[in-house]
Amino acid sequence: MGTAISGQDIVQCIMNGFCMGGVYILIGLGLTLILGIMNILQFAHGEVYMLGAFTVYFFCVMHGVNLYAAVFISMLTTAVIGLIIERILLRPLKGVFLSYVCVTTGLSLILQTVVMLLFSKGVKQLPSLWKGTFDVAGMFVSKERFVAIVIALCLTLALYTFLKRTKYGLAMTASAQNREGSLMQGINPNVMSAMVVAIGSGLAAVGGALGGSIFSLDPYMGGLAFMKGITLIVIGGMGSLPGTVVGGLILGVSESVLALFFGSQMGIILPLILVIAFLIFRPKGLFGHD
Amino acid sequence: MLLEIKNLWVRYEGAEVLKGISCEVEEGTIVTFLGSNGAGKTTTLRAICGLKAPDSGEIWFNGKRIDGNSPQNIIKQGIGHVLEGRALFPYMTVLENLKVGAFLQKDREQVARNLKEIFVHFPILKERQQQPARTLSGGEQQMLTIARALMGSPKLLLLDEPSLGLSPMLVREIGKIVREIHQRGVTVLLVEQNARLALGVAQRCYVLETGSIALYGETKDLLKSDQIRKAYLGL
Amino acid sequence: MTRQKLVKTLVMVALLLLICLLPLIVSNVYWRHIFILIAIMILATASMRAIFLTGEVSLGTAGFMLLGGYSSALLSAKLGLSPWLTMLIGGLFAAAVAAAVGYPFFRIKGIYFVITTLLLGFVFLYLAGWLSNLTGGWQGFCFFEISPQLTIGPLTITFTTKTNIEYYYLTIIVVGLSLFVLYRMEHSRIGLVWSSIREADKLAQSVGVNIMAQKVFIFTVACFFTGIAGALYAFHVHALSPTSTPANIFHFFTSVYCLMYMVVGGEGSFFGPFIGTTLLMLMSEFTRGIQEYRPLVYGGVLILIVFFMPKGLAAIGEYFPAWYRKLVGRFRRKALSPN
Repeated sequence: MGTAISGQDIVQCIMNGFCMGGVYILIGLGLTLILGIMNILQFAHGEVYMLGAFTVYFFCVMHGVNLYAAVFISMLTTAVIGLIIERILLRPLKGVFLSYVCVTTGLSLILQTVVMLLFSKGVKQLPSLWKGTFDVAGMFVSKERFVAIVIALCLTLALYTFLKRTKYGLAMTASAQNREGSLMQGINPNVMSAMVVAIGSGLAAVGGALGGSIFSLDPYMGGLAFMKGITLIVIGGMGSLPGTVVGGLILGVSESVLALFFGSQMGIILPLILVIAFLIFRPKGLFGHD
Repeated sequence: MLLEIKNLWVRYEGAEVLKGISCEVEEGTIVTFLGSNGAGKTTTLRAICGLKAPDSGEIWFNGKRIDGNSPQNIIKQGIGHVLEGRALFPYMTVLENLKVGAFLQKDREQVARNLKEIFVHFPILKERQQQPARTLSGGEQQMLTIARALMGSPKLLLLDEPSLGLSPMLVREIGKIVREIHQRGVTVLLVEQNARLALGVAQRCYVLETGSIALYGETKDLLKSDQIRKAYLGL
Repeated sequence: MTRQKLVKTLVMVALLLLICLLPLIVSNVYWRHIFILIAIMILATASMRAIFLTGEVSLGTAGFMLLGGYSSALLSAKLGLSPWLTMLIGGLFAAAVAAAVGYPFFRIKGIYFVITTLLLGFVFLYLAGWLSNLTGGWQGFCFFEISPQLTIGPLTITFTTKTNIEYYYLTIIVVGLSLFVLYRMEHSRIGLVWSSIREADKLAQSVGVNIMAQKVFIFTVACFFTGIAGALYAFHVHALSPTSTPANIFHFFTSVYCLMYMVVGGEGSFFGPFIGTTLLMLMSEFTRGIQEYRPLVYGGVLILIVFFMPKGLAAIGEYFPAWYRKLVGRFRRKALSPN
């Protein structure tokens, strides 16, 4: 590529990788949970991510609310929107395949256009999570990216705790592993669906906020986010929480490294090929079951 | 009468599986449904707990009509169902499976007590409590499914072919377990192909044949007649 | 002949006449161009529907159009081969790729198959940009118009796109033939086999149907026609590009649009794609003024159709009695209630 690659470049690259990995994980968690419990792929999940970012923009940039508070509000608001989506658009479909492909695709088109109309087209920016850098052993580490990683990690741990230690969390895991078995324990599948879409949407919203802060936002950022989410759950294994985490990190870091050494195009196309390869040869992914 | 089924008709895609069957299960008894494959035994259980809505007929549990209701509402009334094929949560541990069984229980102390009792009666489950359910042997999985259903303190326990795939020794174990459950005041509706097991524990017996009840009565009476024994019970 | 059949036949004949006379009635070159596009998209949508008949949803339409379009255009432009030949080769190339990926792809379950086809479209798009020596790279490539020529006796017809009239007829003929083939297949024994796979595949398997082979077969055939659609597009527009903008016909949005056309028209009926494609594409032309709102409208229509007219517009006759009954029923109930 011409110029030599320094140690600083590599550190930055890895930080980037982990940071993007964190964002991807937040997207992927929702996607994989919804897939595991409702057996549907939420095509509008990328738009939910985008919605989360714009909600933060609305509160923070347009109304001066503190960034972190805005992220929190966005998480809750988007979770509620997720509940509405599940109740009105998804539940009545009764699992008919073509129907929900169409409905979620239609929803993504609607959300893109609505946001575009409400906020105008240009690219926007959220304020930085934490300005400046750390000085670690002579190299500079972006504080902002560090915070993003920490936030992603905390949320993932929170989700893990919820799933393993609370009654409803266990119920959700059970529903994903054997639907009829869970019904026979008195678990209400509609409640499970509602919870999972709400949680997944809330997580995606935070992912959107992080992505919007570190990079930028525009109404069409959801499509790419969705593709990344798919890539990561295929690699990590659908329905698996540790799989999503590992998949996200692999995706984030490999993209970053490939981009550094081979240019950004490689960073985009290689994951695609990886997904196709996985689907063909190892559809379970690295950690998946079923 | 804890459970009453009146003139139940169930169709799957136009094919009639249950053709107007009627039966009753008295509280505190063990009743068994016998029949070969495809007779409609599992369908009856699925209709009772809401997994399949009946086309016509009535199902009454504890004085309330439950047919057509959703599974979670029916289970809430106090029914436990050990499904055909076990339906465990394969990647969850034994303990987690049991905890999910107690999902509807609001009283934490009751749940703890249930768990303790289960570990007393199924020591192998206590030993393997941290293992994923899929690593258990066939017999252990069957015990786990039954234990899981018991965690919900059900009034009526539906058992669908618990002996399937088990060795004769384990089948005897199952019989013992069913009797113990009964002794604790749980009413049991046992669906089986294994007539010997079923009649060894049940007080009343219904024999299903292609969706209709061919024969019913007190077990001791049925066993008295040689003809019935040979023709219907294969004994 | 029953009355219903008579009416249906008359309607069909009238429509056929309309289609044949259209470019002579409409004198605007732009509108003829639109009709050509509609015809091409009808073929693409009908192909997607053919795959759907076996129960799978493929979103790779755009990708296979790209294969057909690029290969035929490149062969004609760089090797000077006749467009008739290269269109056919384009279709065959798309079909060959489809056959190659068919076996591994169909082993993938339901929704993941959809994603895989979608991603495949992306991969083709990127390959087209990457192999710049071959394809002209990310700028795409234009070529001087290469018009197919047909010589019948002393008469030579050149299907130029100057007035779009000849190209319109060319498109109609090619699309018509392709649709005819698809129609015959669907209404033959093979069509029955596909229905059986869609409805109850395990049952079909038990009577000896080789599911994989059938699925790969229809996928190959459908992609052949999709490739031809792409080739028709290439020779009409004579400029191809692999950029990732929604305006580019080879972008995956096209596949989504085809899905929409199919669902809105009614995936159960052979004529569904006609109705859906024509209606929605005309609608998008008439709403050029509010272009920004278009995805909103499309999304809304898609959702509304799924909720209120799940069988699509082709079955519109079925809804009226149901709605009528619901409406009257509500009034009747209101009348009865103050008892």
